[in-house]
Amino acid sequence: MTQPLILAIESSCDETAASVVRGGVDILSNVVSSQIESHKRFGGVVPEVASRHHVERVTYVIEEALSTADVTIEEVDAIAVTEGPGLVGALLVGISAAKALAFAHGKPLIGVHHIAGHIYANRLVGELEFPLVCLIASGGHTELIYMPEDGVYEVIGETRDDAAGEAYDKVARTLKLPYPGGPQIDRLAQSGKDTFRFPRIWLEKDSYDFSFSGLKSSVINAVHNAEQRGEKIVPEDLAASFQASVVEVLVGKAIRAAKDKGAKQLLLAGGVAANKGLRGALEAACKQEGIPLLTPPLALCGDNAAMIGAAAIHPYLAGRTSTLAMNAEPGLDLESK
Amino acid sequence: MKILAIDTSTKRLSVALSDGENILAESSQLTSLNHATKLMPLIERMMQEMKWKAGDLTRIVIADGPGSYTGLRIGATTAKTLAYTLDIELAAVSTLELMAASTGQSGFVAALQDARRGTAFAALYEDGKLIGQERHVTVSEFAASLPDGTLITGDVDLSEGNRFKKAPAAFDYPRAGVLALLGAERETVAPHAFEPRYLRLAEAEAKWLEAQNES
Ligand SMILES: [Zn+2]
Repeated sequence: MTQPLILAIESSCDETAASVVRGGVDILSNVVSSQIESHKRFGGVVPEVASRHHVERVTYVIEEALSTADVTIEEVDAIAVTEGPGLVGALLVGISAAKALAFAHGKPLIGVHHIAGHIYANRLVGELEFPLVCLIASGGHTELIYMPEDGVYEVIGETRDDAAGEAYDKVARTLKLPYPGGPQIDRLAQSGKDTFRFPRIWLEKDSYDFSFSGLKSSVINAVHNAEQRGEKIVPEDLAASFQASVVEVLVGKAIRAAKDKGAKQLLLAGGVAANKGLRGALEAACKQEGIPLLTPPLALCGDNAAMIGAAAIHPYLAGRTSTLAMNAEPGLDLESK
Repeated sequence: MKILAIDTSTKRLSVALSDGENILAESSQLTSLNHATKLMPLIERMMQEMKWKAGDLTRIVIADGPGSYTGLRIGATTAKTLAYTLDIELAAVSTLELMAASTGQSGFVAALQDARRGTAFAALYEDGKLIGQERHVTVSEFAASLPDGTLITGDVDLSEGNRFKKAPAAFDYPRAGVLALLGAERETVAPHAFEPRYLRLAEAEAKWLEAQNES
């Protein structure tokens, strides 16, 4: 059997993306049109502005994905699209385009969960071995997912307040770093020391949940206190101290979950997977514990459509397609997919 | 000519098929609040009933605003993607012009859409021709500019003072059948670059520009 060709579209936040993926594994094209330059002036993603940009870009991105892959829309076996979670107005643009393509060419339509996409970004790198545990860290999500088999998800831990990426952005704002703050903090942290010893928020002993708002407040207080005393803060040290606390908890819980669940692999996914501090610490811990670690290359950590095409292969082969009545699901549940 | 016309700009949802001279099929959901789920199934059903295939279409006509931002985007994205992927013509008609034309009346017709805080997206037409321009304007200012006896269509109440006539309910909503005929001969637009006309900046953008001008 020839491997199915999937044209995938992703528009859940501030990237308009399309990709052609063969068999859920081979990326034939991966086009991402980032809006980050437009949102910088607002210090964050503005949903209405993001939605307008998606409309401007969507067909260009689709056409480029097809032409780069050198396939015609007729040759494509299915159209996959991010159904949720994400910004509803932004999701609707990708979904409307996907439905139009599916209808125009009589192709099956597959709705994909955005987080399933992030997880399956790892499938574009290597074989997945089940059971596995995946740590998702991004601007909107911080979760530990247990997967007993292909296409089956169990959320075993999640943040009770801010996502890790959100905490990064807020701390960056306190340090008056430009948006997006995450990479800036990571960069500063490389040359700083953990001098502040911020608290590590572990929550209940056996919980896999996360909480970052207390840490965020500690950082903001530290900055304000220093300002009041007229002391200068070393931004590198503050960044290193904040990052050390985040990374220690993320890595600690991910390793414990992997061991408890007898995982054959630990996966890292989401935009924060590009964070050097986190990648380094997780690599070291996995090596020490003898747990195989899979991390996507940097280009596949952020939002992209190749990961949606990879995640779509399982529902496609299982015949789980969506109808043309598909809606955007901003709060879509991963376990129900 | 095989035309598919789509209007999702207001809370009404309307789709029609036309040969360029006649309305062959038309379906409107007048209280639909979920264009996202209803638009594509409606198009599919209507095309099936007419025994048209997507590949038979020669032109898409879209009402390009103003209107509800989300509604506009659903229609615009659907229309431009269909036109691009089927490699057929795309034509756009103003939603306000469509509203005025849908009344079926000649003379002065004003189309208004409530844009909150006492403002409206509005335009005046005389025998179908735009007088002045489409504007985001305060309702009172727009009303003051209208000739006596103007026919009003849309969801803004201008009954006070009895200067105007209100379009009868049966002709007081945009119809995709009318849209198909209006757009049958219109100049085409390039699908890739097509965007709806919001007639108003995103709030964050407006504030940002204001701040730029102050500094
Ligand atoms: Zn993401």
